[in-house]
Amino acid sequence: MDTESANAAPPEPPPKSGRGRPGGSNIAPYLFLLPFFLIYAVFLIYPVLAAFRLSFYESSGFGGDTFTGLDNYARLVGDSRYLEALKNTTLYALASVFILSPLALLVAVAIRSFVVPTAAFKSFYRIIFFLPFITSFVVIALMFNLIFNNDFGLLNNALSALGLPTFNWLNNERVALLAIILVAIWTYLGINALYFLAGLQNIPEEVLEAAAVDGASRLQAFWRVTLPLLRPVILFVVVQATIFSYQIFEIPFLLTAGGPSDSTLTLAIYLYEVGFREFDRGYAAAIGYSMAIIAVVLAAIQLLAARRFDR
Amino acid sequence: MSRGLSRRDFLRAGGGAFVGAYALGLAGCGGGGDQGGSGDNSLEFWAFDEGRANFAKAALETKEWRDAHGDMKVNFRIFPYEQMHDKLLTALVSGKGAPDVADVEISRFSNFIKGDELPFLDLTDRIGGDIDDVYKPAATDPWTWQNKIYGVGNELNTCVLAYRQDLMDEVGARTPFETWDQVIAAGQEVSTGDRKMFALHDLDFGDHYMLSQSSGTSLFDDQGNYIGDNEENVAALQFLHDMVYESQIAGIAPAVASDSWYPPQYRSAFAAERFVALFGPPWHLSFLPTDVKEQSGKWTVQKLPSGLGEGLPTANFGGTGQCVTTQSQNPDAAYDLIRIANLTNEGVIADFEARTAYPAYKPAYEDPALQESNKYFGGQKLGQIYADLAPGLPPFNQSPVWGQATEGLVREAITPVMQDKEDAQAALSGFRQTVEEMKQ
Repeated sequence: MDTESANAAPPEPPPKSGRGRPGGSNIAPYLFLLPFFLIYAVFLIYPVLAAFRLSFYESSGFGGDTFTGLDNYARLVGDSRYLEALKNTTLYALASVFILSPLALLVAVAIRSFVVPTAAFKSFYRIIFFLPFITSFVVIALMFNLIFNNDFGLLNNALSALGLPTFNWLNNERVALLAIILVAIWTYLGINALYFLAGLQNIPEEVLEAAAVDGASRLQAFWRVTLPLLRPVILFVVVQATIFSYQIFEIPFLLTAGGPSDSTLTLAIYLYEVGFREFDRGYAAAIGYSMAIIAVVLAAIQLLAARRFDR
Repeated sequence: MSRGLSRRDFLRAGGGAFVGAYALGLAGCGGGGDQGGSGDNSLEFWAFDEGRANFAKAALETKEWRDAHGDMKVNFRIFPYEQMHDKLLTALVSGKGAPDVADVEISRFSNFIKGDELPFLDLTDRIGGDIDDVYKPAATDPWTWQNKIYGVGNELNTCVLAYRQDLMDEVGARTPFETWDQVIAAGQEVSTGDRKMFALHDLDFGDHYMLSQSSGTSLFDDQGNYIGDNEENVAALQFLHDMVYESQIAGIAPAVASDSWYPPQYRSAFAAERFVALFGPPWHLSFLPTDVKEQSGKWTVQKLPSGLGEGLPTANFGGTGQCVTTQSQNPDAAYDLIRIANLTNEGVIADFEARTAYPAYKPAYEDPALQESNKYFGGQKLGQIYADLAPGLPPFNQSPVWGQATEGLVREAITPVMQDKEDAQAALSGFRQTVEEMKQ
């Protein structure tokens, strides 16, 4: 044994961060983070808190604000337009959960299965389905304005060719919401399918092979193995679909502006109208908070339900 | 010894920064100051239409402006319609960042007169005697509140009936039409197959509003009370309904969310001869010479026929005014810009030549440019026709709920009647309750 080295003082432990100069300040990482937190505080936390305060005031027009307590929230219950918007948004959310999400799962399963044979085709379909999600809402609106056009639209021409009835899709209060839902499905199908694809790729092949060895058919393997293992992804897709559904604004605003006769009015469009058209800022803030509460409550219910189901 | 920032220190510093940011935000959004405009020797002008911005820019080229404010820099900013009005509202509420002058569309002005304080300069005294030189219902009524004028508009909105003279001649219709009954009779002859006489709007209040005014009434009386469910208004809405579903001389006008009045689809339907007549103000008719060029010489313009209510020969629909904000640092120069653009021959004739905007400024109608015959409309002297009708323009009664009320009217009465064939009386009466709630 080397006595010299054995008697030497133990070496100084390396600095905790590993990157800091010994004896120097560790403030640098925080300084790098600070701009984000400042921007976050000014542009998110401050407006959120200010809007919360505003929701307890009557703040319409030019002049001072008057504290009205919970009046703005109480007003929501008797506001027929708010209830109509809530109904439309809920219908849209239901469509997102019960139509869009299963369709996305179907697309993901199809892309992953033998239906799409080669890797090149799989990539091709992944890109094709994802493209609408990265397309600008304005472009989507322009495109679907043409597709849904009453006189020369692609959809009505196709329906006519099949001998089916045609509609003035965007201007008829009976079918306008359906048209909005169709556009939303087209837009968001790809991203949701991508989530499911990622989930499917994480399911080990061995599990499916074991099911096959045990004599399970493809359908049985899907219901008994794939679907249960996909539960976390399904939960994620459903929760985010619900949350985003209650915030939908761009597609209905650009295609129908909430009309005709409020048939496509969503909570976000109504908030905009109350805030900027009716210039009733306090009530608009209350609508905003009601949207947040609805989204949080629904997401919590879904998470709790999923937990109970897991047990 | 390491002097690393502890988590607690960071949270403390972050908390301090947040409080600072909150205070900063409060200062920025608290409406504490009235600071806006461009500053000492410049003006900021907001518009939502390039043509209208050019109309104001033309005023800068006049000798009068150059002599008085030659060294003044005017910065024009053009935003989309919704965005401009929203930004203006936000800037005026916050007390910072508003322009010196802004274009404010007639339906959006009502938002700015809610509350006790108005964010625009009272121009009544500045306009002074010039008020006698304008057709008030078009030039100042829409931007007037409680007898104070806050804006000036340039467009004369005398509504007329326009139709394809060649097709009326073809079916042997006697023109000009004296009554709506004659129009319907001609419409039944001319409406064949895909072709209809009129394109009526089910997503806009304009058609009903024009007929309502021609009937001698309006949506609000001069005290701001809702009268949209009176006999004349009901008859006007029923008349529109009947043109589509009874006499079947009208179809529903193509419309999109961004333009419920005359989007490209509407214009192309006229080009395709699916519709062959319309009623509206000059700005509405202006799409014909530009988008339906091939029908030049085939159109005729006349006063509105009688047969509905009082049967007034015109109505007053639409308009955009220029307002000076209270944040302006140069209100004198700002008003001068408005005056030269709207209240001088030089200003309004420049706009007429650029956009064929028939002015609300009376002396301009003496100018040869406005007395020329119009080739597109069969050689008619439109300037003279509009000037003859202008003294009969019905007044416009502004209300803080005007914008909301017209949107609500479409939602609760026009669309249900024109689309779902609901009863006009029930729809308009039912809307009374909504208006009352709006006013609270």
